[in-house]
Amino acid sequence: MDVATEVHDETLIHRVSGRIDTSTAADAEHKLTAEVRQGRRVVLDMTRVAYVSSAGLRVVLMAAKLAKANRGAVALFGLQPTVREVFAMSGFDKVVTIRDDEAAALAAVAS
Amino acid sequence: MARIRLRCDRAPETLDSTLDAIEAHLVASGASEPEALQMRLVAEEIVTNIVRCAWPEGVDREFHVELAAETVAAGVHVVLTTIDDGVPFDPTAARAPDIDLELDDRAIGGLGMFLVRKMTDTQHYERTNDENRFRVERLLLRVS
Repeated sequence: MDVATEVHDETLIHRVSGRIDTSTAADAEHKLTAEVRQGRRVVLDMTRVAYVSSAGLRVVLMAAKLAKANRGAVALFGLQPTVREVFAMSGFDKVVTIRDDEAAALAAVAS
Repeated sequence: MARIRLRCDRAPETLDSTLDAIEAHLVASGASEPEALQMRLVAEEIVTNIVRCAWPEGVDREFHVELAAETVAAGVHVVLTTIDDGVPFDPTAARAPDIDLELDDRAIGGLGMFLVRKMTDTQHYERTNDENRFRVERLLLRVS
């Protein structure tokens, strides 16, 4: 799993590629939740993530909870169909902000 | 019928090689990539439970994963079985998480077996000869 980060005004965009699973979850948590702990606005670009297991869902849930607790915000976009399905099956599409594209995700964290 | 039997241990590196072998075998047996990824997730959830919980921490043990993929009239019939000699544990008895809870109330955890149940047709557990045997089946449908 790799993360490339861009700054967009006040928002960070983490572009994630690879799998977010048991093997990469610790790394993902380290790279994807640091800024929301500080109350920053973060967008996760998931277009290059082919696979998320429950370990990956936990990282995303953690990011969402940390954002709420620290007055930050996090939104995801670009979920591939198989990944989107895992989020829907687990009900995570209802507790985590998911948008169809980057512009919508940026707007979601800014509001 | 194409069948593989994998010997696994608790080392972190073993998980990926086990899951890679499962994914590759399924694709070679006629599964589509999305189907193989779903079964990879199923296998990951089951195997990580064993690695984490079957024995006390620090104990080096091995367990087995068997995968059979058979072409039948309706599609590809997949059977995934894990066999371990750890503490008795019935994954089918695990409590399902409440997926309708709000963010604050969602627990971190409990999702693995829930996803296994959703992504497989049947799940069967038995304890024989001091071993846990957990078998899940999935028919990958092909419309002709």
